[in-house]
Amino acid sequence: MSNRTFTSLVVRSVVAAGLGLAASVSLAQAESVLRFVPHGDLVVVDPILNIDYMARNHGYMIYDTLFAFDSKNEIKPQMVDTWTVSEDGMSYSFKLRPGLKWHDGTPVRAADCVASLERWGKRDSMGIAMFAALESIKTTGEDMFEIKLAKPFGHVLAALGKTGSNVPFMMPERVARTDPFASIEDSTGSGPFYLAKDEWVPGSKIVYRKFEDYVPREEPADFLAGGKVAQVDRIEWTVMPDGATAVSALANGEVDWVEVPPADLLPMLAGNEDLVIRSTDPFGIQTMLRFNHMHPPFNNAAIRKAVMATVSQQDFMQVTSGEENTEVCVSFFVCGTRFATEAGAEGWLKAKDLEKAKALLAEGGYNGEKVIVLDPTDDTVPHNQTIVAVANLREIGMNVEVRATDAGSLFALAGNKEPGAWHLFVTWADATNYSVPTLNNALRAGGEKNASVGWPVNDRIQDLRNQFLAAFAFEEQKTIAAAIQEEAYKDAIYVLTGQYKQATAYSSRVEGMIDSPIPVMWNISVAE
Amino acid sequence: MLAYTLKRLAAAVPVMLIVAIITFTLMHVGSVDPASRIAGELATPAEVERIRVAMGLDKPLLHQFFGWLGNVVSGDFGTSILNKTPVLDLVGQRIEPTLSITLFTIVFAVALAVPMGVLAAWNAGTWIDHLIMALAVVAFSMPVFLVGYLMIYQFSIELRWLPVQGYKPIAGGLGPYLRHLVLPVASLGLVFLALIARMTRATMLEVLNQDYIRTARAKGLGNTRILVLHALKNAANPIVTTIGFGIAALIGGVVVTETVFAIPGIGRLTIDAVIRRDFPVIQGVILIFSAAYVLINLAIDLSYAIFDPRIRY
Repeated sequence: MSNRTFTSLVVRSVVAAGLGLAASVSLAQAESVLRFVPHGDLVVVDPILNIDYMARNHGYMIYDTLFAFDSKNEIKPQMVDTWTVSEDGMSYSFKLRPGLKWHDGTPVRAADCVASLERWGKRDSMGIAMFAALESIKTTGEDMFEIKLAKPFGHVLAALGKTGSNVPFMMPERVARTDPFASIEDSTGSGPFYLAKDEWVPGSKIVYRKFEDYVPREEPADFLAGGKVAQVDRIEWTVMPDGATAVSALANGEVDWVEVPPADLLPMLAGNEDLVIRSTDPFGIQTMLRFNHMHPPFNNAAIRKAVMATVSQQDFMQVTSGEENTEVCVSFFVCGTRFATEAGAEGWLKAKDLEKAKALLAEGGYNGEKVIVLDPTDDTVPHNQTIVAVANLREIGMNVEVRATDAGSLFALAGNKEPGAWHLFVTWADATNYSVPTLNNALRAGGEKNASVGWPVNDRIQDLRNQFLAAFAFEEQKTIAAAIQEEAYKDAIYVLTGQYKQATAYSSRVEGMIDSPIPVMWNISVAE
Repeated sequence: MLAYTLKRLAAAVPVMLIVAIITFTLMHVGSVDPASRIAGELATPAEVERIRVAMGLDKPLLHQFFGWLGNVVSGDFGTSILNKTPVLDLVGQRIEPTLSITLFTIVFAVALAVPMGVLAAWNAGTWIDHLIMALAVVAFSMPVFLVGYLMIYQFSIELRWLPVQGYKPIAGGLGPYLRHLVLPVASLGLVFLALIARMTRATMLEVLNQDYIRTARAKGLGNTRILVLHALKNAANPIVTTIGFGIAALIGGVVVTETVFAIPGIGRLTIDAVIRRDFPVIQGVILIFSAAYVLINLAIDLSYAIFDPRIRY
């Protein structure tokens, strides 16, 4: 090769490289990115199989729902365009919005929705209840399907727009036909974003990209309803197990939004004018003490009520989120939501009454039996509350042994029905899961066959739950909810230790944040 | 030497097999399996069992173990039961950050610690010696996470010189790659540095009192030549042994560093897998770690022959 040819080759290569670099730089500059630090890691991508909140939050990114709740707690159509309900409330017909597509470009069909609901109906408690009342669910056209009830069920639309795990997300039929007890392997959805699977580093980073063919509703975004307009091209969820690192990264401008900054580090961020710290959750999180109703001593209602008498919610809230963002909430159905009530709560939870507690212990015939308390030491809020609870129990003379565990194992250990395995633990749930009597799993009182861990037994509550499911009118539902709560207090099914709103922290460059208990990424843009 | 190396490599196989058996047993004895976690609090025992079957956890333990072992022999380390990603892919995604941190930490620590130890020994009893040893004690006493937080506060938040967290692959540019490694390497390297510096000083003091060093001085050799060619070379074996032990400890320390600096390395992968009871990932990673330990120990042993010509394998 001659010198001239070689020189020409080198020059051309350098120019080409320079152009390529300029192009990639300009592309990188054009792409808007939201950098988010979630509260945990996406372990299982299937939000129907897995009840984990991360799976649910992931679901809201890539899937859509038939209906959704707005900020006034009213049910609104989302994927559904129009629907009709028969006069007797026993038959529903739905028509999908035109132009809905899956991430692979194929159109959303009614058959996809039917298959998705059938899979969801085998895993979710509300879905199971709905399908138990169903006569049939079938397609009546390419974009239409109908639900016919065999017995009254007054919550069809609420079920289809259910906010908490397991959310009835719509999936392509081929994916929805997966065994509901096995994980899906295809994350195709029809939501405003899609999962960039090639960029997913399990345990570290999850990347979503804007779905260009998504057709948002025309209404403004409101809670989980309305138009889901993706304003950013790319969203990076970076998993940071260390809360201090996440907060430092936010302060340093390396991330835009930290979902759950540790409460004790919030003062560090408070003076930073480039940051916004507030609660975007209009309802909050409830914390509670749950009993093992199967074995002594808490198979005795008087002894459970003795524990309830030791609880002053302010004591528990001080170790949870300090003095800010707390309220005394005596409603099992989440204060601020449509079924909230104070029925049955008179004289409980606002102040500690040790004399009353000791009297109830004596009435229940407590005889020094060991009380094993499971303590999830890696979950700050339940752990801190466990310390307070244990101190209270010892103060009234109970024989307490604390067994340390980790949050991930807690419910599995609590599933052990052997005598002496456990008696009490502290846990929490967000409003989306506990605001409706039939969604509040801790209030299912069907014993071993139909209750969550702890296995409370209360036939009246079960009867009232069935009445609630069958009730169509809201006022009737509210009356039944109040009756359920009264009975729950009378029987001390579990003890509410408080309700608080978790603060989130984000850069002041983030605009369009939607107030919601679930971090939603549509409507959000990041200013330059 | 080749025969010795091959013998050592062959001996590694039963070691790794024993490690695999112990890991498998510990994971399954008295452990909560991931199916019940995924199933949720309302799941019936039948539903939990269905999930276990879908995950392959229903098979008898021996069947699970030998099935896994058979696959490992053919290069298949299995698939995560939670996110369905092949274990080798997960390791492949994470190996670069961990290797980068580990190698740079070793280089940083050795490059600084050996001269520090030599300097301290050469100036034994003086303020230089006392200062270096005091710094070593402080460095050894401070937990890695504490050093990490302090460095983040000073160099990232106050001075804004370096990033708080994350990792940039080398393919994305040398500058960002190195910038993201500075703080993690410095945090992790300080303990390692202290350990090596102290061992270097102790070994050098012993060697510097030997007759051949006096002879070298009497012959008129310069200090640098005496220190490097005569003293350090003879002190190398204990120092290399300490470095070897340090590398083993490094692998444990790297977990803390990866957590503090949010680096997607193998340490975090292991911890996450243990917490979530992702059995194939745990088994695969532990096996890889044990192979790494075996190879590191072999390399250390072979290096003795380089520094001490009397040693022959």
